Amino acid sequence: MVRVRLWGSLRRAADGLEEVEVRAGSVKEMLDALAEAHPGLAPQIARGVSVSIDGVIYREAWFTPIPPGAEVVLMPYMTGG
Amino acid sequence: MSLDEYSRREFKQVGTRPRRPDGVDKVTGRAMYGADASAPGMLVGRILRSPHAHARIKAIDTAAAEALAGVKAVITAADFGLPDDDFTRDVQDNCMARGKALYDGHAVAAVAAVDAATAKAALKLIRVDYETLPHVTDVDAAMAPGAPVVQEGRALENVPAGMSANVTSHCEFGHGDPAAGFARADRVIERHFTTAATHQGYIEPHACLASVSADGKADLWCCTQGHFFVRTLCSAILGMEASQLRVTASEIGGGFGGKTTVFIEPVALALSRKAGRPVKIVMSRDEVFRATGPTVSTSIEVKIGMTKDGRITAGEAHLRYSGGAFPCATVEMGGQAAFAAYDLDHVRTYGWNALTNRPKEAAYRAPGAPQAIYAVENVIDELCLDLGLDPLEVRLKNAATKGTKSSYGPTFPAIGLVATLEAAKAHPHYTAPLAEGQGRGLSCGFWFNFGGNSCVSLNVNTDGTVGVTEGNPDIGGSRASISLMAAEELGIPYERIRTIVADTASLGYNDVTDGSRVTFAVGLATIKAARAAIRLMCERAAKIWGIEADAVEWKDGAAVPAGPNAPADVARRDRRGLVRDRRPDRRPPRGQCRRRRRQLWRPSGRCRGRPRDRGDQDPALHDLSGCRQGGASRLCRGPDAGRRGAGHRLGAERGIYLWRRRAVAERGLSRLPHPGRLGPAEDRHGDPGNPQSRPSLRGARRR
Repeated sequence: MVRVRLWGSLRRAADGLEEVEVRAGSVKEMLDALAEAHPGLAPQIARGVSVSIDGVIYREAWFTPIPPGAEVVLMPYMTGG
Repeated sequence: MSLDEYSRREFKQVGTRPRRPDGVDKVTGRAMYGADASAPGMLVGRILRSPHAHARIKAIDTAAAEALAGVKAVITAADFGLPDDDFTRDVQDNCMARGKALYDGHAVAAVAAVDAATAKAALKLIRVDYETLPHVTDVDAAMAPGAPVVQEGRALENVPAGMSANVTSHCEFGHGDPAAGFARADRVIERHFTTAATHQGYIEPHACLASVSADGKADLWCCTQGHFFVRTLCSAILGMEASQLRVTASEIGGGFGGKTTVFIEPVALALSRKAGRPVKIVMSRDEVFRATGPTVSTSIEVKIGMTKDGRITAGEAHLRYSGGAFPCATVEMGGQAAFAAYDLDHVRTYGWNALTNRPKEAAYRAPGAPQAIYAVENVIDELCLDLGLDPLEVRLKNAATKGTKSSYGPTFPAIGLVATLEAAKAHPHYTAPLAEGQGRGLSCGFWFNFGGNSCVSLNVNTDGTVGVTEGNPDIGGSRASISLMAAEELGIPYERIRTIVADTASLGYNDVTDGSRVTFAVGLATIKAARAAIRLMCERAAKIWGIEADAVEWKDGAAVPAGPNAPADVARRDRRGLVRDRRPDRRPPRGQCRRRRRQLWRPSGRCRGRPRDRGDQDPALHDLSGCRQGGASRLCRGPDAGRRGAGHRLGAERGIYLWRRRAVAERGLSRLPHPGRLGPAEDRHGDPGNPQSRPSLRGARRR
């Protein structure tokens, strides 16, 4: 199981939960599981999100494995300049 | 994303200041920028722009323009399709207004003509029937009740009910209880800040050349920070398959984030498709300011509490950003970055984006973060002044460190803020006396690192030099830094490497040159490519030598036998393939080896002599280098010297001989490579600029 921390405004779409737990081994599995378990998160996930795994930010890294016990934080889709 | 754990390493190349590969071209005017592209039969493209900040487009009559002699195509929004997804549709609508002009300068039509004068005249013949509408350009005014609505129905599901229709998104970050934190503070300050929609102000205006052929294939040359993203956007807007559109990035005269999207490229492609000829569009400076993306405009409230000894007890910020006439998520970046430099128990940021009648925002160096950080840092400075505290010591006291739970969620791994502040504190400038009229300021900032999609091709050339192909436009010297990293990994001189930026048909997908990602991400890809090349070359060397792969290591640009598994005779082989006997009584007199070899061999490869010690069974040297005759081999030194085919019977040498024969056959080499240095950096061979190379170079020619 992966414990995923949500950013503030996203918590309203997940029944007010700061952290949710899903069964996943990779980033894509985690996002799919989140959208299924909490449909309110689906629009944001469809628009795009970034994922921090143990402090390293991933963007469009669907097949990145999530190690057991990793700190996973959902973040907005990051853009730069 | 890191390639491996950080470890201290003495660099030989990284950290030096070599000549930039693009330097000479740029200072001599040879470099090709966006406006330098040309093609036979090229037309001139010009764009008609709205004079109104907000107006409904009731009708556009292009008949007179199309009838003008020399005009080959006129397009409006009607010449584009309607993309399914909001993001692409917004980019397209920003390139060519559909239904409404949303800001002064918004494109409404475009022409392609045989010359600039004709194109300009054609623009004047286009009749646009506008219905002007009330407009709003201030973010706070746009969020107020009753504000003119820039676009209807653009609010995301996260916008609370009852807000202005211009509010498109809301975000919130943080942890703890700010109210409780403020209650514990000795001093709380709250201030309001506004920042303008500053333009990036790059020197080079946007320019592109598009050529669409009759079979639907297209080429696009443009100045951009990300030609793969240009391909993604343009192919989606034009309804093309990505494979049919090849985008080549020119040299770039600045971008700072502003060239991470498209403005004129889809227009040029649509004109070319309609005209059947190449079309070039070059923006004027006026057009750049009117119709390309500046950064967001903002209105920010920041509230911070601090104890008398300088500990921040809580921080809170309300961020209202506008990215112009289209939705943008830049406020999310500001909300995450505002307090990220500090280790806070209670922190919260609230963000809103609102539409205004301004050009569509484009990224601008850490988009959204500097505005929020500017506000936060001002309040911290004011608190320090009020409480009589050193602003640097206060920042050190509150600095985020490894293990800090960041204000945007993740726990920080190693982070260098304390080290940076300590370095600033130790610097003489921090304590130097100030003259009248001088001041000294201090601020902390924060930005993320992301965007790892990178593709690099690294090829070892037949002469041992290396070509690196990357897919990110070089906006700040990345070709030099990528070459340096490749040189560092391969152990060869920087000058032996040439890095180029390839077009979209020549390399896999690369993320945009943004977010300070290129040196890091493309550098990692380059290092991986170099290490892969080293691994392959070491494996081949092991096969050549007939030893295990783990008995070969890469050292100073060459594969060398090493470690406990390396056979002793292989370990004693020099770069010419000689196996030396290190026993003092068997070692040839110092300085005689090379002279003897020169006496023995001529360019024909034929053996012209025999060593005096021939037949004495002294295995001091077994020289296979350059020794070939009639497809067989001869030894020139040692007990079997001169005998045809003798190399086949010499155990360890056999592998070398066979490899070298194969190399000649497969690579068409005019001479055999040196098995003692099987790397790309035969840096003592053939480099006229390297004094060490000369003896070997002469020796090789003599053979």
